[in-house]
Amino acid sequence: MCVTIYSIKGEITGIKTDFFTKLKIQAMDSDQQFFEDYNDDLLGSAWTNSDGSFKITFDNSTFSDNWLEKSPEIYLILRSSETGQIIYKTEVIKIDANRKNKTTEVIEIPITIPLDLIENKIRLLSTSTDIYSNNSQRILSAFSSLGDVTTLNNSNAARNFQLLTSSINAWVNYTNESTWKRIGYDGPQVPRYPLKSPDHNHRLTWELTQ
Amino acid sequence: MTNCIYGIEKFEHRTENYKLINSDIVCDVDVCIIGSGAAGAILGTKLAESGKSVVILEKGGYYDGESMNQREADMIPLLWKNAGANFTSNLRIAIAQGSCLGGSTVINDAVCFRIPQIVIEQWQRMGVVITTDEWDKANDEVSERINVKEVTEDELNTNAKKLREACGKFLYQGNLIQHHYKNRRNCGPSISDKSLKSCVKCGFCHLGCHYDTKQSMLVTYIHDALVNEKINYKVYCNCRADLITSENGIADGVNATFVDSNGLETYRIRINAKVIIVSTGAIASSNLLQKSNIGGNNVGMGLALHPAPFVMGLFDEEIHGNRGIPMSYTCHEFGVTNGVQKGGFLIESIFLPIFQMALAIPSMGLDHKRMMQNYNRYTMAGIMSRDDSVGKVLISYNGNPKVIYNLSEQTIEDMARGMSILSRMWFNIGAKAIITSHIDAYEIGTKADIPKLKDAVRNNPDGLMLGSAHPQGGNRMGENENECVVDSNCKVFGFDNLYVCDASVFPTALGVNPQLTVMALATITANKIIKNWKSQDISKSLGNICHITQPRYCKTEQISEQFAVVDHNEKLLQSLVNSDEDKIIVGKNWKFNPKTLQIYNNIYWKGFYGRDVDAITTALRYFGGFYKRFGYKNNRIEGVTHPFETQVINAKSIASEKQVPGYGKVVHLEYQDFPFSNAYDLLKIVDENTILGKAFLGQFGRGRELFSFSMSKIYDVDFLTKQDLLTLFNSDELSHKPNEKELIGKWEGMLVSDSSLSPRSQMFYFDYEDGEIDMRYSFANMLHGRSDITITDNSIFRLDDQTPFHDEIRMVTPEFAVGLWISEWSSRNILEPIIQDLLRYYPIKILNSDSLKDKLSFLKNFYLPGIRLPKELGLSFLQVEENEQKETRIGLSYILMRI
Repeated sequence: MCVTIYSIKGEITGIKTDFFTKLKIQAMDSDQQFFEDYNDDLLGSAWTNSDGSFKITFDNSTFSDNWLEKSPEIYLILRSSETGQIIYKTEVIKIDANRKNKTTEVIEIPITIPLDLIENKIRLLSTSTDIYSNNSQRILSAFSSLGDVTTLNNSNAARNFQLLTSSINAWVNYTNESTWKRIGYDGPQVPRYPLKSPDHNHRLTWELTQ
Repeated sequence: MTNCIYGIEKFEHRTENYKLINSDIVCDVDVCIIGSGAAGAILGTKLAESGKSVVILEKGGYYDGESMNQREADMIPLLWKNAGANFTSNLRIAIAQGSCLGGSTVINDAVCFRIPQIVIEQWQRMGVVITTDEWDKANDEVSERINVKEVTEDELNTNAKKLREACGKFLYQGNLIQHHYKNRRNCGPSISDKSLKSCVKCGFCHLGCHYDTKQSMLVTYIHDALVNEKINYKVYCNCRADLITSENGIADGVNATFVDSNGLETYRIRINAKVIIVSTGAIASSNLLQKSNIGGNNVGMGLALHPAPFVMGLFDEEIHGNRGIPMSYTCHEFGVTNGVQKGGFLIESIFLPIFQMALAIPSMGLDHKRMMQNYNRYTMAGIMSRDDSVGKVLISYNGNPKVIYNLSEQTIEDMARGMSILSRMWFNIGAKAIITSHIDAYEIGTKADIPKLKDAVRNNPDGLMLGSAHPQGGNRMGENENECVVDSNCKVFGFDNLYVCDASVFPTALGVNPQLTVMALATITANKIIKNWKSQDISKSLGNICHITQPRYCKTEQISEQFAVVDHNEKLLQSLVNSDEDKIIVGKNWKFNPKTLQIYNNIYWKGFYGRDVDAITTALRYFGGFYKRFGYKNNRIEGVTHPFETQVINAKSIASEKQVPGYGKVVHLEYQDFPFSNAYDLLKIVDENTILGKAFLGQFGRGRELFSFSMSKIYDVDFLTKQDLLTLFNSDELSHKPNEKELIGKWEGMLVSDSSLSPRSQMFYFDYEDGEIDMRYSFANMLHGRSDITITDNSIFRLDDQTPFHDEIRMVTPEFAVGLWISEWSSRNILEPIIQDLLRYYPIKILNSDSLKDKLSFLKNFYLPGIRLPKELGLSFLQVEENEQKETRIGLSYILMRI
C-alpha cells in the first residue's frame, strides 16, 4: 500500500511580540456529505511557536477510510489558546491525488497566514488588557486573606464596626468624581487611560490656572 | 536581548521588554532574588553586573509610569500589598507596602534619610559588624544613582511651608526649636518623557509616579539591568515564592507560583540557584522563612512599624495640601536625628489624596462629611515614632503572615507628646481647629483642650487609627546565633548560600524613613557576596512544576499539549507491565526515598488528572481516582483499570501499539467488557515511569475525547495513597515512634486520599509549657483544642482528646510524619462506639441536657448489631481497618509536614 506522509509547514507572518503566540492550529479534512459521517476529519493539530511557525504531519490513513477519498481537502482552523474559540478558518486546499508511483512519499504543504487577517479577532477574544478592570476582584481577593490574619476577639467591636463603615463610606463617596468637584479636590492630573490618550500633557491644572 | 520582564498580565504597551508567561518554567541560575524592592533590585543589578546570571521573583505586577493614572481606586489595588488591606491582626495599624515591580520604592514619598549615627552605633553594640565608613560609601553610591537631592525652595508646597513656619515659631522648654529642615528626595530626569528633568510636583507619589521622575527601583536599577545587553538578568512578575528548598545547610532552589489578579494560580516556576536572597521586605520575608521552615523561632520576632498618627490644622485660607510634594519638610527636634537615644519621633509634613483622607479621619456621619468639606483648608503632618521592636510575625492557618503588634508604653507616650506639640504648633500659626487620628479626640477646638488629646492617647491608645509605611525587623541581624536570624553579611545562620537582605534584618527601628538605609545595606551585601563568591553545583530539581517527566503537576491543557508533541517511546512498551505481586513488597515493587520524599510503586500505575481547579477536574480528582495495572497474559499485555474508591469497577483491557490518525504511534487500550467496551484510551509512554493518556468514548479512531490524564510509578508524598501511608506507618524500618523533642514545632497536616491529597486540613503545635510537652491542634481553622500525649506501647505515639477518636503518629523523616485519626478497635459495628460516645459525651459535656440526649437516641437506629460496613465506603478519605481478630476501626489518615 502506498503511504503518503503530508507535512503542513505553516507560518503566521508579522508577529512581533508574544502577545499573539500559542494559537492552536487544527488541520481538517473537508469531507462531503455523502460520506458515511458528516464530520470533517481531524488530520492533526499543533501549537504555534513563538515566531508564529507551526508544523502538522499526518498520513493518508488519517482520512482515507472511504474508497472515494484519495486525497485530503485540507483546511486549517486557528483557535484561541485560552478559550478554544475559533479565530480563523482557511480556504480549502486541494491536494493532487495522482501520486501512486511510490510506496512512500512526503508531500510538503506550505501555508502562510498574514497576521492582519486574525489580529483583531485575537484582540477581541483575548482577556481584556484594561489593567484596572478587575480591581474589585483584587480587593475581594485581598480581603479573603485579611480574614485569615486578623484576630478580632481581642479588639473593640464598636471600633471595628466604625472602621468598616468608614471604609465603605470612603470608597463609595470619595472615589467618586462628583464628590471631588463638590469639595474642590483637584483630582488626577492625567486621563484614566493615559495610553489611549497619547497626546495628554504633563502640566498640572493648578499651574495652568495660575 | 535576553534581559526581560515576564508576567501573566496582558498589556498593549510596556516601557521595558515584557513577555507573557504561558507555561511552567524550570530555570537554572546563579542568583535567585525574591523581591524587587529597595534591596532586591539593587542586589539583582549589582550581582548581574558582576557576571552572575540573576533571576528576580516579584509577587506584584509590572506597571510602568503610563499605567499609573493617579486614581486611588485604580492604583492602590494594583500597587499596594493586599490591595491596601494590610493591617496588624487587631486592625489598628494600616501597613502600607508596595507589591509591584520596584516594591515600596514605587509608592513611597521619595524621602531619603541616611542611617543616623546613633543607630549605627546601637546596632554595632547589638552585634552588627558594619562600620560607619561602609555605610557612608554605600549611601554615597546609592544616592548618586537615584539622584538624592535636597528639595528646592520652589518644591515646598504650602503645607510644608506652614510646617516650617510652625517649627520656626515654636518654643519648647523656653527655646525656639532648631532642627527642622527640607527633606532630601530621589527625583530626577524621566526615562519616558525627556522633557521632564525632575519632580512634576503632582502630589500623587504614593500612587506611583506617572511621570517616571521619582527615581524608584523601577526606573533606575531595574531599568539599567534590563537595557544592559552584557548581563544575564530576568524578572518574573506576578510570581509568588512559595518555598525555599534546602538540604544540609545549602538552599538549592525556590518553588514559586504565578498568581493572577483574582488570586488564582496559573503556572509554576522552579528556580535552581547557587545563591538565594530573600528581599521581600519586613513581614513577607519572615513569612517565607517560616513557610520554608528556616531560621527557627527567632524568625518573625522583633518587628517595629514606625506607627504614625497625624494631626491636621484647619485654617481660614485655602492650603491645597494635595498640591505639590507631600513630604518635603521634617522637624527633627525630637527624634533620633537630633540625638535622642531611645524612642523619639519626627514630625513630617504629609498630605493624603481624598480617599485616603476620608479613611484616615476617624469621625462618622455628618461630622465626617463636614470635615471632608474642609479638605482644601487643612495642613497636615505625621508623628513618626521610633517604636520599640515589640511586634511579631506569625504564620496563619493558611500560611499568610499575621502581624501581632501592641504599642509599648514608650511609644504611646511619644505619640501623646508629639500630637500635643504638633497641635500647639498649628494653633500657634493660626489654626482654627485641630483634627487628629484619635477617635475620642478627633476635633480639638482650642489650645486649652490639647491636654484632653494627650489623655485620650494615653488612656485609650486603641482609639488611634495609625498608619505605618516602614515595617522593620523580624529577621534580626547580629552575630549571636541564639538571638538573630542572619549575620552581619545578611547570611542566614546555618546556611552557606541563603541571605535575607531588606528592612526585616534591622535590629531596631531606624527612626527615619528607611529606603536609603535598605538600599545601602543591599549595596554592602552585594559587594560582600561578589567578594566571597564560591561556585557550587546547581540542583537539578524540578520542584513541583509541570514537566514532561512529572505530568502529575500539569493542568489538563498542558497534559493534552504534551500528548500532542511527545513521541511514544516504542522501546519501552515492556515497562507498561507491573510487578507480578499485587501486594506491596517493600524494596521490590515499592520503595520510599526519604531524601526526595518520593514513592516508587510498581504494583500499578497511579493515575493523575490535571491540577486545574474547575469543578469537573476537581470532582474527577477527588472522586474519580484510579490506577491501571498491567501484566502478560495470553502472549499479550492485558490490564485492568480500577477506581480506588470502589470495589465494583474493574475494567479489563488489552494494550497494543497502533498508528492512530491525528496522534501517530500510540498504545491503544481496548476495553473488553460492557459497558467499558464503548470506550478506549490512547497512551504514550514517555519514560519507564511516566505515561500520558487520553480517554475516548465511542468507536476506536472516531471516539469523542473525554479527558487527558497521566500515570506514574513515581510520585511525591503529596500524592500518597492510603496503602502507601499504612506501609510507612506499619514499617519499623521506614518510620519510628517519635520522641517528644522530635515533634517540637509546627506541623501542617493534610488528609490522605487515594485520589488526591487534600489541601491543609489541620495544624499541630508541639511546645514545652512549664517543662512539659504541650500539644495544641487546629482543625479546619475552626476546631481548636489540646490533646494529651500517651504512649500505649513501644510503637505508638498517641494523642487523646475528649472525642471517640485519637491520633497515632509515626515519624518518617525529621520533616515528615504520618498519622491516623482513628477510633478504638472494636468487634462491634464500627459506627457503634462513635454513636455511643456521641450520646454519652456531647449532650452531657457540651449541652448538659438530658432531653437532648433523649432526642439524639434515634441515632441508635443507625447501627445494627452484626452488620459490618464494607471495607471501602466509596469515601476517598475514609480509613477502615480490620485486624486478625476481625475487629475494625474507622478514621482518617494524614501526613504531617513540618513548617
